[in-house]
Amino acid sequence: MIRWSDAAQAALLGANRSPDLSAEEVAKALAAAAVAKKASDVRAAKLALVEPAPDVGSSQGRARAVTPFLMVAMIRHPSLVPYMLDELVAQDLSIPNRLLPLALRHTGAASSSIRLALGVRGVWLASQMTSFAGVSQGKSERARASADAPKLKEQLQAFPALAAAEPDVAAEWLAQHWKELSSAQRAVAASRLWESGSDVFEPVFELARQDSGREVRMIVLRLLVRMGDPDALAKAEDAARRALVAEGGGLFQPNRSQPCDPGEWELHGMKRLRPGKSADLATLSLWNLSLLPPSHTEALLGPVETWAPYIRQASNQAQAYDALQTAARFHREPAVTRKILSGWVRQGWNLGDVEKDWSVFTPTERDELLRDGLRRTEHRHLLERCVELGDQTPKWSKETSLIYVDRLRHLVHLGTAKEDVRLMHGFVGRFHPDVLPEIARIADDLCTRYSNSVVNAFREMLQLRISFDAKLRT
Amino acid sequence: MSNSLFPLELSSSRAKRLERVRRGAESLRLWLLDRIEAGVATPDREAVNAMAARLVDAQASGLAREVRRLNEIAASGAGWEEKALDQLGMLFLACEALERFEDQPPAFQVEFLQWLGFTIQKKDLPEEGRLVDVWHVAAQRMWIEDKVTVQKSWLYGASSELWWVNYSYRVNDMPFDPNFALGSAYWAEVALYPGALQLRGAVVVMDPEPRFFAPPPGKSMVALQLDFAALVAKFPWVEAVGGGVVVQGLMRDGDTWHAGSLDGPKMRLKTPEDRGWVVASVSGGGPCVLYGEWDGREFLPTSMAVREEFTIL
Repeated sequence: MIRWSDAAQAALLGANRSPDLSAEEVAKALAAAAVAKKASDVRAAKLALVEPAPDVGSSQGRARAVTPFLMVAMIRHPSLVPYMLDELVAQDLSIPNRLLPLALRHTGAASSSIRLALGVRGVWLASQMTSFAGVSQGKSERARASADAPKLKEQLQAFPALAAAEPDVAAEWLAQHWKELSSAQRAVAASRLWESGSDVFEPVFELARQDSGREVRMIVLRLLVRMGDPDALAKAEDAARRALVAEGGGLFQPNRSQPCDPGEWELHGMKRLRPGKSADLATLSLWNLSLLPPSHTEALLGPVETWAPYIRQASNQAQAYDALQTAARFHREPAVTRKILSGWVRQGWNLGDVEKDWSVFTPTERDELLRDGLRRTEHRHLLERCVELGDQTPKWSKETSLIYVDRLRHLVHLGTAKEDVRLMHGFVGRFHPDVLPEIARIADDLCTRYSNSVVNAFREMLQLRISFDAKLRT
Repeated sequence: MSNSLFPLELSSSRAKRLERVRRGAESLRLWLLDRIEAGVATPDREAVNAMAARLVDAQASGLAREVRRLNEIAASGAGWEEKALDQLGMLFLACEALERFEDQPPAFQVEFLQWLGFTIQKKDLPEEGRLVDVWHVAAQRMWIEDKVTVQKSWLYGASSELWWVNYSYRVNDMPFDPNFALGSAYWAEVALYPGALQLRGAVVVMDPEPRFFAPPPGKSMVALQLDFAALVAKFPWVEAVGGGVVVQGLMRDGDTWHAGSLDGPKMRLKTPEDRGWVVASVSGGGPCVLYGEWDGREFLPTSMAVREEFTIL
């Protein structure tokens, strides 16, 4: 009888190379083996069973009933998912078990909505999925999971979530893997850690101070100022004072008579200027402003409230707000952030990424600001601003939702609504339930007029939300 | 051929077709031997397609389908070589069986003819032995084959305690006929196709209104495997057996999932994309019943039940 391994070798390499076996004998042996294997291929277990999830013994009941709607939202309309998850949590429900892998893969464990809605089963599943191990496990297990994870890239993807949830573990991980990361990766990871706002930078501090990357060294300098290092503070303040002059009445200008010392900037992590190139004093001084605690800036340039009336007069003054906003965030002075953002929806000046700063307002205050902004959306950039603020306002009051309906009606009238993709799609989960029928009517009207992918998706999202709400409450 | 196998009684036209199929199988046999002679370690897609086309010309669509599978296997990733050798073996066995067709039992002959591509009209199915029951659709999968969507459903009769398989087809936006919804139950009278396996059926009369569905009981892995082994003994080319299998827990080997028990056997799960994680999530890694089909190598789960709660994967 021919052994399968001999027949397999002969068939793969060629029976003509095997003088003892004919092709027909090999074929017959393969046939016999195929039938025999097919009839007996249950194998003895050599692997260990996966540690099962804690048995909380509860039926998923109503959560199961909304599974189809949540699945469609996860696949086709991700912007609606946070709303649905929040609603589940409000009803003391968790993500249906069936959808947990999809939720973790598509939404990411870092989202606050999903973390609350994971439930016991979701936390167990996240601990099994390597990419999310750091988010959900106990501290010692987390560290081990990070160490055991096969791919640095995956760990790096999970790093922002880890830095937000457990900055001390994130700092340890970063220090451990510092040399394996590229300069750009080190800068991104260090800034994520810095943005977490905690005082856990210590394991990375010395590594970052000696880093070759400018971005990384800038973070160190900010930390030194924040920690009250007198030398760093004095240097930054002196540089800002020399570079900017207050002219009184809330005005301030770059001090163009002050020479720029390239060596000084290099100490701060800025690149040395090439010979013959003049420094952009405004940019450099504003950068120094962003290092200083806001109270020092106000001492130099006057209280922040006095700047507002002049803000449209000079671009560097608007940029000063940007620098001050960065400083307020970093030095944890939310009162200054409030002063800046309160005027933001009404002003023409731009700020950078402000998403993180909206937390200085209560949900009610955000709703009021949004309402105010939506009423004043005659300018496109103000509308964009409202879109950004609306993204940060999870649930709108009925009054705000009604103003939005008016706004949408106006846009339909102008024939531009179909272009405002974010205005339509991003807010479906935020509308007050009482205005849904009216918005659905407007969506139908839009579909009749335009019937393009944007308005069709908007109507589909509205219908999805209406069905989800109805199912969840029955 | 006996009267009980009436639908595939060899009329003169069928006898002529069988002769053409035999000639096709003879060329397939030579092709297989040539390939083994030269070595099959390097897949040759064009040669496979050319052989399949010759078999289609010989009206042996079943053999052509199995030859084309060689290309699918070659593209299936790690471990393709063993699967390819098994497929070559099964094809060679089919050629041998055709040479000795007249020596085979009638039930085998009828099954074999259907596998080769001979069709039986639903109206020609035998009237005796029809089954009436409320059928629970516990496993189902769909795929597209030559622009036709195929819906394959495994149904369990609560009273008869029998499993059978239904194939429905859809072209473009036409509905499946019959259209079985997974996780639903239907009253129906069913006729089984004649042959050695008695697995495939067709609905004769059906109430389209769904009845109360309850997840069917699962079998142990060994019992399901023995069922399949018995089918392989009757007809070696049997594709799969459907049903429910009781699982004690899950095992993981990289991206591969296995259903297992504490000290017993395990079954490798065929879990495309995230399905392994879905099984883990729904079961919590604990006991459950998986519904799907076992092909002798892997179990393809399409649905599952935990404490009688049914979930479509």
